[in-house]
Amino acid sequence: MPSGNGWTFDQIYGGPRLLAFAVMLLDYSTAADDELMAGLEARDITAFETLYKRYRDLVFSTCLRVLGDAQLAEDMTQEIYVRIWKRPAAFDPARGKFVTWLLSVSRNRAVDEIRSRGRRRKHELGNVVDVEDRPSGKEREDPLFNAVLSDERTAIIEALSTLPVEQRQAIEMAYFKGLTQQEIATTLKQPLGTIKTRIRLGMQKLKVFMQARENRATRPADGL
Amino acid sequence: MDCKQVEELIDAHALGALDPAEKAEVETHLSECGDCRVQYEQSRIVAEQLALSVQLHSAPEGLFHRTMADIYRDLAEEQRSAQPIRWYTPQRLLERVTPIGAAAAAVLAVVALGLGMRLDDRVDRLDSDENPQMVQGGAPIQEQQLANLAFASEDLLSRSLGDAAGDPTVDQPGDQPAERPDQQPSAPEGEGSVGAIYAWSQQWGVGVLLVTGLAIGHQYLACFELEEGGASPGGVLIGQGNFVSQKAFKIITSTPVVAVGLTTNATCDEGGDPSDTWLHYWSLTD
Repeated sequence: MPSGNGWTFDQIYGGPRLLAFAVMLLDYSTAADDELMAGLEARDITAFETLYKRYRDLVFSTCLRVLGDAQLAEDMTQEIYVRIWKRPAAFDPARGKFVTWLLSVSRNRAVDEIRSRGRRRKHELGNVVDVEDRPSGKEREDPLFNAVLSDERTAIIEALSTLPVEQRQAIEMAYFKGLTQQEIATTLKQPLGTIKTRIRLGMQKLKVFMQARENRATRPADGL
Repeated sequence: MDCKQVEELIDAHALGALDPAEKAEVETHLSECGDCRVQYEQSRIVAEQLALSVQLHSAPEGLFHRTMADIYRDLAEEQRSAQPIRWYTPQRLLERVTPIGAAAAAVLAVVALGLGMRLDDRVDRLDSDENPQMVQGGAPIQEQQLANLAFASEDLLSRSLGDAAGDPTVDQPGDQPAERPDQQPSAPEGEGSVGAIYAWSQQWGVGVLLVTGLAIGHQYLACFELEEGGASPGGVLIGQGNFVSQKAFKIITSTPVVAVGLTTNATCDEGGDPSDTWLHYWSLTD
């Protein structure tokens, strides 16, 4: 059913104003995450919908990466968003960006789920590769999503690509599969000490890379 | 644990890769050592970025509707136990979207009262079993979303449409109802004294119709009568009884409109004069 129509204002409302309201329109599509979360606290459904649509694919993808099961990932995504609606105050803007908090919540919740289901043994190396080989969805067309996250996604993807395979593997098994260092060592049939070293060195490289990238981004252009 | 031992475990801790015993020891140390906390924060920030590296997959479309159904159920539950109502009075609606001047809110309240919108008894309404059915799936939710988005800038103009012409409401016992044209649908049961405000903003290209008195839960089709003749649909309003039903319209053409109204028929243009065929008809040119 069409939802719009048009008219000539001057022709219809040529008479004097009868009433005037001083109302401001909240432009949801360009509202910052913090503003939308404030809307959630005020029980603004449209603010919630905007946040939902902005990050649903990212949340779903994170859950899918951890859980390795599309149906579980769907259910988890729904649960996470309903939790956010019910307890928006759980997000503390002082601790960082909403999206990183959201993804942490998603990842942690999904990891809790696989731990409680005892599915860790299923997440062998092969399954990790299988999830990554699925057809990918397109980047969100949400301009705010792209503006805010495009650079950050690029940065971390690039940083991970610079790691030796075994360091990246250890980090991703810890983060995306919720495995402890001991469990990773057992899975990969490597000494515990080796896994600890891989994780430590890999994370150090990531930190250095991300810091250097941030420094380049804030440094004045050469020659000025 | 000392700092040297903790330093070797900080990255794993940020990744959630410590066993419970190690995790507890590290956290105890971090609670006491500022330097180690700083290092941990650096690791934590990087670890949180890892989730951004996932390959993107599109969430299934049905997930949106299932999630929103949960949200609306939760909201309805909140409103059943909360006082006063937060949604459907124009004042609360506008306050919820963004802070507005107290004067503006007062004006709106006066207008609402003038149209017979009973704001004061909304608490009683909440407690009754006749709460408006605000939680629905599919199309009604979409209409509700559009209504919530219909706010204008400081240039918002509005017009009180008053009581609908041809409204079959009986004012006093014993009064004979006005003659109703044969083509005009009957008012749904539960419909009261219907009044409306039409507000619009040229700057934002949006208009909103606010109506009170519609039968709770009943669907009404909003219609526009065109100057050139004929009628065009504008979407569905759901009756909210004494609370405000609202519908937003995006202004996309320059086709002059001479009237707005509501019908319970399937279409706006049933042939004949809209003032006869619509249940409620408000001229915009009087």
